[in-house]
Amino acid sequence: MYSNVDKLLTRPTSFGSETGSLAVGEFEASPEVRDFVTSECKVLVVGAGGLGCEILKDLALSGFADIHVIDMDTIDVSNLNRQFLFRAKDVGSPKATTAAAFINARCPKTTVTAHVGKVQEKDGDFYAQFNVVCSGLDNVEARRWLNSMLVSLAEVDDDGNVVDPSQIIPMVDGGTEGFRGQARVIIPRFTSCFECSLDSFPPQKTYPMCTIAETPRLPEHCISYAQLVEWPKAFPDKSVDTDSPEDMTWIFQVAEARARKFDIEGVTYMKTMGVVKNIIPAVASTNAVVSAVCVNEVFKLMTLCSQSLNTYMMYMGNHGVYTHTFEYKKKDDCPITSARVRTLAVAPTMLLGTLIESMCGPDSDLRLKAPSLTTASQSLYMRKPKALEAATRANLGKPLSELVADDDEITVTDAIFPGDVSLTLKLSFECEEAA
Amino acid sequence: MATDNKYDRQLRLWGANGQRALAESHVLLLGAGPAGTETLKNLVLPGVGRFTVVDGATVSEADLGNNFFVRPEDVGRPRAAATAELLKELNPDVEGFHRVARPEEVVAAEPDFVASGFSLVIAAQLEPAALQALGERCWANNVPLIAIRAYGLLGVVRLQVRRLEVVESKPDNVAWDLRLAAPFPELEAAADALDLDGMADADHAHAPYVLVLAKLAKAWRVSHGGASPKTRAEKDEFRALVAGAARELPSKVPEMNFEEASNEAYRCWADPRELPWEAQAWIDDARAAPDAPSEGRRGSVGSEAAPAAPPSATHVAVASVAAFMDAHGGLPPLSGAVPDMHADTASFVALQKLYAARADADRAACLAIFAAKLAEATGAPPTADEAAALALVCKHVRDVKLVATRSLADELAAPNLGEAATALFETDDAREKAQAPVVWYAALRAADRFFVKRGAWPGADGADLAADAAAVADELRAFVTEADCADAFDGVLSEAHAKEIARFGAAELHAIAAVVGGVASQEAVKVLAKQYTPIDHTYLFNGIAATAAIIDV
Ligand SMILES: [Zn+2]
Repeated sequence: MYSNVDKLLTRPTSFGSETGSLAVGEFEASPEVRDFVTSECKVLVVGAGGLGCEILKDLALSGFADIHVIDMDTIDVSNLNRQFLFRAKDVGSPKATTAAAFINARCPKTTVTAHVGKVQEKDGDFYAQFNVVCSGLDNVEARRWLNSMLVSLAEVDDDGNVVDPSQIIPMVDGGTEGFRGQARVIIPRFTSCFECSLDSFPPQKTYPMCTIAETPRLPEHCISYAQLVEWPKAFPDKSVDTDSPEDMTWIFQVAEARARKFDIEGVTYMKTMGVVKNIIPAVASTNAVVSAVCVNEVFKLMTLCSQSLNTYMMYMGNHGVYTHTFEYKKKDDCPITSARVRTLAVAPTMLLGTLIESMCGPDSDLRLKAPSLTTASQSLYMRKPKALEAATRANLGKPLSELVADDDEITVTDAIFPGDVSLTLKLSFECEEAA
Repeated sequence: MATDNKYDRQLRLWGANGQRALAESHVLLLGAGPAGTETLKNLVLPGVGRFTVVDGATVSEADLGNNFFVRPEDVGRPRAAATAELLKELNPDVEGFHRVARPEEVVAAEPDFVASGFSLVIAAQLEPAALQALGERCWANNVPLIAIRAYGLLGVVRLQVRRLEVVESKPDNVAWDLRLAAPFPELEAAADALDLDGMADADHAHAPYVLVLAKLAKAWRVSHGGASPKTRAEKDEFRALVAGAARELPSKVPEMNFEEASNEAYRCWADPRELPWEAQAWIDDARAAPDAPSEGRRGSVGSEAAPAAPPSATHVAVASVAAFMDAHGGLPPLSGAVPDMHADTASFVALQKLYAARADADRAACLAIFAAKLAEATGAPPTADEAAALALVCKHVRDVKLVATRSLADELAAPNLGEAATALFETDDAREKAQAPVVWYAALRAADRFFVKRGAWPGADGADLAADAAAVADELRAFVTEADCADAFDGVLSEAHAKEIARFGAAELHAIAAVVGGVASQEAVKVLAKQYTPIDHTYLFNGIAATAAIIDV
């Protein structure tokens, strides 16, 4: 059945993995390599959406027989133009189980096991059972978490060397936006990681509040006003359900009224959805390209039958097709892959609460969500458990000089990273004048 | 769910125009292997109107291992029927047909089958001689052709179009036509009415930069004998003048509209008569031949002229724009679009209306020319669709382009490989050079030569791998020598490339077929929707090192 794959795996080559610039092992052509793919290798697919559907199909038809897929979403009508494992009758069902059932029916040699839920709900033992992880998520937060989980699974000794190479689980990650996309290979502890490239995923574009409120000019300004100003006024206790036609219609109508008042043209229901849901255009073709590039890398990493992508491929399809392959370098102060301790210059008078705020939000360097801080000797501020939160809350209003000494190291944990992953920061006091 | 439109996510790219064009298309697929079915899948999902699959094979065990559109129970059935059925099942909006016949035989026996109403032909894994013949028929009938191939770890998408009229090319950076170097009377009047000195601070900080520039540029011209800033020194002086016109507000916050005005000052001397060369080329062509569209960019060796067809409404619209420009000192119709800028609501909306009104007037003038041209040819006034075509051209006059690739016949007879090779070896690293996509282009041409001589692919099942590799190496040397580019490949091509081709044994790996299917369907959408910029002309994906390039040989 896999006679095409067999040719690649049972015939020798001058371009095996060992000959590439990201060598991960030596290729030995043999039927055993094929048997490893079809009966031993365990692959985790993260996401069962536009990329995930493609990845599952590509893996099954590359011979992989033991595949797991995890996704928390349910199927929406607007998925059907590309997520080809779903039909109109499936709208509302979980993506993971529906996708798995389709592949299992179409490709009888492959077994896909579905997990409905968030990647953050699974622990290290769950992820450690896989040989490789292939992710196709549109969610930066989940990818950051997954990346640090996989890096943390490859334990290192005091010199930073990986203790047991079998703990290295490669992550092949894809992403798309309209006609553009990228595919990359992350070998934990060896290559750059997802966190190294966080800057290339800019936070969502927003409009300045003063423009929205005082000088609206575009339909987008009116829609944002309806969403951010009018909605909380009308429904103080309820947030917008972007999947509810009633809620979206309300925002559309309020935005339309505001646009009429200012003589602004172009507020439509479709544009309202685009702005409120931050909709990113998506087509079948780009998903197909990026997913297939990812699965080709998974296939080569697991069989060593050819060289590996080192490490990043960018794809732009609007005008001609521009593809650029390059080695994404490690960021030397990456909180995940760099051993270097970041030094943060702070004023001793800065309040702990202000320091924590400065680590959060889309414009900060670290883009954390809800950090907890400790020093070697005490808890500065802990979110959990409740009693500890209550006990440390008062520290938020205290200046740093009362809590830590100059050049003290603090440990930061955050929901963006798995539980046992932390980063270390060194606080260095600036003199008052400079601050 | 907040929408009931399953096409919502793609409409945000190609809009209602693109979707309509897609829904009105009929795509012919020759060859229902994995590269072909993956391409078609990505066209059925977004709602192509109709497709026809032509394939002569019977579903085998091997198909189950690399083709998603066959099931175990289909083994033994015609592959055309099985794949068409499962492809159709993806989207109830799409009509699907199939025909059980070897594509090579159809091409040989019914050479003009491709011209029987298809919008686009996709040829998957066609044998070299049949592909060449098909290319010639598609060229002669001006039917776009996408030839695709998955060969071991290599994937190829080859587009051939003789003449494609693209209006909505959707450039990444919009070239706003604001007419500051040649202001129309209404713009001048609005600028004159702007009392920069007498304004309250709040109004001063919210005056649209376009009006600020129009006003300051006029003052400059008045004091410089009617000329705009020309020399570098004059341009710097003008920029300083613009920056100096900003007020220092009590809040000390710099005026953002004046910052924008400084940054955009170049618009006061950027000549709106200068169009991108692609747009200018089509306008010149339409002016010279309003009734007989040209051949496109390049002729083809020994090929026949395209059958005389009446010019499209779009071509007549471009010719009308050319006539409008001749009557307006070379100025094209105004598009009417204005970028967002720092301004208060009322001033911005008034500015938008000013530009829109002028654009309406220009379009009406173009429509009058257009109607006269059509009346001459057909005796009838423009239909709603024809008027819409004219409006679209007026709106996107800077973005229009004629797309034409080199013909397959020319490429096969005389590949410009030396040129392509030098440009495509972007690196000095020997390992990277060995994986440059253009090297694999040459290797695939060698595989084709091998096939033409022996009727089988190198490294096919049961073949002597070493002997086949040696024969491919001979073909490779002969090919680069005949293509007169042996020097360019010296030290880059090695026996290893020939051995790898033999190792592949023409295997169709699903992942490679899926890359090919993705790129091919993307190009198909561009060609059918007449939007964006299609490739010129070959995309080669090297799955060994995950590198890829456009090769125009
Ligand atoms: Zn990193």
